[in-house]
Amino acid sequence: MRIIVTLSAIFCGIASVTADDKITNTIQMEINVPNVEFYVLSQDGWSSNLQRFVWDAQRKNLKPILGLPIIMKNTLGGIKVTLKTGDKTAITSGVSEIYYRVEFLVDDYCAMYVENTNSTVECQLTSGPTNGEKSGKINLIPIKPATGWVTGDYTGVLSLIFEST
Amino acid sequence: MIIFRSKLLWTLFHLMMLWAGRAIADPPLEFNYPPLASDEFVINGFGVKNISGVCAISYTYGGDMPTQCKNNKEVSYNLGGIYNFGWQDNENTNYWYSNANMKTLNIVSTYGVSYPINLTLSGMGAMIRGPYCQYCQDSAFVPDLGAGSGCTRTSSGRAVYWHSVSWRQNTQSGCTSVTKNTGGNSNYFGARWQLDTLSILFRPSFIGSNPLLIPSGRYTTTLVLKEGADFYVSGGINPIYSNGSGAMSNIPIVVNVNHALNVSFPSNTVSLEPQQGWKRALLFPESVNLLQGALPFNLSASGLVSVYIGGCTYTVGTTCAVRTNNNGNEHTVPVDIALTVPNASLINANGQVGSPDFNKVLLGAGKSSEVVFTSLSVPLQNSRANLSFSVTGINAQDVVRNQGAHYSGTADITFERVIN
Repeated sequence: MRIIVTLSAIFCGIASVTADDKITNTIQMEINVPNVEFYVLSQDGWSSNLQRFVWDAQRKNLKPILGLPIIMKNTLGGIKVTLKTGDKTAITSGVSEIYYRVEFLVDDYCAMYVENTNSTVECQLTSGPTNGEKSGKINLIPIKPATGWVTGDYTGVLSLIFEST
Repeated sequence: MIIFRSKLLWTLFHLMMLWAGRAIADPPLEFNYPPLASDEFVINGFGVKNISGVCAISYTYGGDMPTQCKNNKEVSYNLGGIYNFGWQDNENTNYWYSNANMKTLNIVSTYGVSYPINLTLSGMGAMIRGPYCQYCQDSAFVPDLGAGSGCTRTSSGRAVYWHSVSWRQNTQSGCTSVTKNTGGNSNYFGARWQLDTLSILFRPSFIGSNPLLIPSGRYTTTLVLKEGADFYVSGGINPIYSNGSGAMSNIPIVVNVNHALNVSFPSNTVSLEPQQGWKRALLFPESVNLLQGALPFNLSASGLVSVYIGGCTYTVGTTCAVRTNNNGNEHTVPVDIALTVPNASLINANGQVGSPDFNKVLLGAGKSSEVVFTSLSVPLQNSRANLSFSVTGINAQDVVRNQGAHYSGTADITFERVIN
């Protein structure tokens, strides 16, 4: 059993342009309706809204997005989270990328950071069955690129898969 | 009889050779949007190449015409004809262009779609040469433009074998070439002279056709100029135009528009959720009237872009849908898909600019339901666009009541450069 929670984060840029006559993107549309035994939810539905990284002009840094609230329950076992296969933890603008770290604060602290789409990273959020609901937080911490911050309109989608263990 | 026919055939052959010679015309004047690295310079955002005539000629004494033309944002084209005349002492020949100097032409695509461009005649140029001056002693091949306006040229004392360029910009008054007063020296009698490389200068304007609104494609047109109507040559020498009196000069023009299109999706998955969050939605399903999801992406485009839904795994009517099979209970609901492109405008079916705000425009299934947009000012470059997905009304409530269900389906979103 699994649930996918997606959240989006955007920021601003420029990059190269290539020409093509026709481009088709196949979009996978999903609705995952939780049930009472197992769910992981964004509190107040923030994950269906765009989340914005804000540029800190004074510190010349990209501010993290902190404390996104999540609630979860699994009466059957623990809950682990993985990144959707093939995704990276990055926002992009053309050829420019900004990676970010995804931090989970539930039973323990656990973080994900994926630059290479072949790597598999997972976090165990809860170790065993819970009758009641648990709450936690997600932080998104942008990491300064080695070449420095490059201006641009950056866009990204974070797709998390929560599974019963 | 046989000899006569043979001579006739030879004569015909000779004529054909002349025709072949005339057919080797200069290549079409070509304008490219966006400009190419191989273009000679840029005029109003369009790169230009294949300039012929005086704008392609640089003379040590006469000035650097390519640079002058570039600065004036004008081009020239060789009209092709030659004016021939015999030597006469101390006489002038004048050439000028019509004061009806604005030409509006339609550039036409392969499919017959046309857009207007304006060509403003701005100058003429020519070269005077003495190729048959058999008695001329001085062969100094000096392109003597001299000082002054660049238009009036008089043969100097020793430059009888004359090779000079004259040109004029920004005025219709004639340019004058004056032969040398030799005091009746019979050495110069019988000499033959030519006015050639006769070329028109003009400024192209695409103001009436915003290049961002011209679909990608190859467009052609011809600027037709007539001797005796659009340009004239006269004077004491009375030259004869090689193409005949009142001849047409055709200037072929090609406009290539090649807009870029690039779409980059950071993810190809979108998850729809209730506006108020799942927990509240599950407690009060009757309060739910919207499930929504957003998929931001980067879009680069410098012209008209057509977008439509190319296909979906499930449909309800003409709308894409998601389906679940929750414990054997199949349920399918339609998903509306809308597109937002900041700083872009909707272009209606007549090619006219519609809504200035391309915000949450509902996409239809199939090419026949396409919507077309473009940026009217500057090309979109990695612009942040957004696809929004929604399930509304009773369908949204039915989904929320279906606890534990996993709905899925795909939608192919197709972006196309509009090509004419």
